[in-house]
Amino acid sequence: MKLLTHNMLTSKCMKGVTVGYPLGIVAKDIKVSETEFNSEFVSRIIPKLDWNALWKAADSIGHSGDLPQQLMEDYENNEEFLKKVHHVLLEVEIINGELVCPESGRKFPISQGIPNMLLNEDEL
Amino acid sequence: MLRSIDHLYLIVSTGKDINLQEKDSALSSVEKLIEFPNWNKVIDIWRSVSKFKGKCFPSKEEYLEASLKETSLKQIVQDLWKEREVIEVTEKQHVDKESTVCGGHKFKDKRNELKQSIMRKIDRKSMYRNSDQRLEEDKVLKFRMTCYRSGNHCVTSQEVACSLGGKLQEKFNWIVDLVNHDLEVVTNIREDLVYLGISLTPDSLHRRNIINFGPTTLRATVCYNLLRLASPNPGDIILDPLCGGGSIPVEGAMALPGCYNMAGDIHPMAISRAFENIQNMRCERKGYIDLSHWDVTNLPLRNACVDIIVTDLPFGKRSGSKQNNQNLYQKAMLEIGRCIVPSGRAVCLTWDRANLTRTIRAYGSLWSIVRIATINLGGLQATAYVLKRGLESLDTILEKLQKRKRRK
Repeated sequence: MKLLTHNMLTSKCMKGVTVGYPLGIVAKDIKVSETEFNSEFVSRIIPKLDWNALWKAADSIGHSGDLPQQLMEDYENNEEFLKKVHHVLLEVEIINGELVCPESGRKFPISQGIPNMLLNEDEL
Repeated sequence: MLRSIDHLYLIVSTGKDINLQEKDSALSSVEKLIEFPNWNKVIDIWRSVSKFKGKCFPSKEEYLEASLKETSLKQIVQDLWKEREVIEVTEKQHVDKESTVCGGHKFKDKRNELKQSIMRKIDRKSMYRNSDQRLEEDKVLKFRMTCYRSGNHCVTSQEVACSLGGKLQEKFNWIVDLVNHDLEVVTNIREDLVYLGISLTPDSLHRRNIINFGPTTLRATVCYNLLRLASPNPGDIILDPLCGGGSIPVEGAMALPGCYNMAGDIHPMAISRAFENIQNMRCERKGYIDLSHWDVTNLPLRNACVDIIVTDLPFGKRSGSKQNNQNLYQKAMLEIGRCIVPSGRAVCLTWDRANLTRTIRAYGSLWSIVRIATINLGGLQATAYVLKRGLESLDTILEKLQKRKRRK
């Protein structure tokens, strides 16, 4: 699971959960791999993210590096910054661990990089 | 654009208004097409694409020597294959015994059969290649003549293929091999238009991404075209919430630079197939695809978080059933309507048109149909609906629908 995906995931689909975002991360195995950098992609995806949630998630697994907590202005032309964002969004993967609902504490397991978000009958 | 085609042919000769109603004259007219092309040039082009290093214009003696070699190679492969079949049969008996002892169920998966038949073809080819110790330069070109025909004619495609194939063989001393050929020459007859071409693609390009086939795997070429219908832009997040083996998101990650592909499915078997297909991708593009295990009727995604949805809805023929489909389509179209941005594009492929159109109409202004495209998928006429998500929020749309219901 990449942090870009994590930025979109929520446990609001569960019964009784009002917000369910952002999900906490418990990471047992993390993999860092190189992936093709595309500056246009990164600069266009930033406005679609919840920046705060991204920073918190990266920080909680110790991969925030020197990523700023507040989004700066005019980031589109800052190649160095874009590369850091690219790294955090696409190159850091949670292979084994859990996602945690911030309201109910329900844990969603992640194995082989795939989070299992299926709910039980009583959670629907 | 080239990612949307299956085969590429170089047309070398065309004949218009050829009389194909009288057999003898038909065959000789078509045979004349072989005289026109500059074969040296054609073969040069083919060589640069195929990288064939052997003899393209062998002498009669070279041809005879190579023919003898082919016969002996075929015999060797046949013997090796027989040995292997004996081993397979004994192994199967062993496995069958075990499963009856354990009381387990026999795994009758059509998917497995297809996979096995593909593996067998690959194995026979590699047996042939391994047994052939000759230098590349000493081999003689092997070809196959295929004829495709549509319309009313007095000749069959086999007759044309035989006749033209024979003529080519006589002219160039090439070896005929229907299976392990280097060059494929194709004759295409449409009504009274005939053209002769040589294939520049040894295998259909549609199998390029997927190694793990499922019961309903889409060709990569179809996937590419579906993605194109959604007009993706760089920075777009593309969602396939019913990804199966992941054909669509894998093609998206390979072919659309600057888009992020999120895939998910409910079936554990689909997840493991998709996982395998993703692992098989080129490293630099793997970052642009991610897989999750979820239920499309209850997606764990925020409102309005994806730009585009491209998916292959269950057909009801091979997976799911018509009643299940109605319920599934209703819930799925609502959920993806929630997760997509206002004015976002969704491309949904389905065979169950009635269910989908009914669902779209039932949701009022949530979805509008922008375009409908029909696709022939192995005999099944499927339809791709290009939909646009309305501008209003989901709550507003649902409220309006409730009011409409109450008035009725």
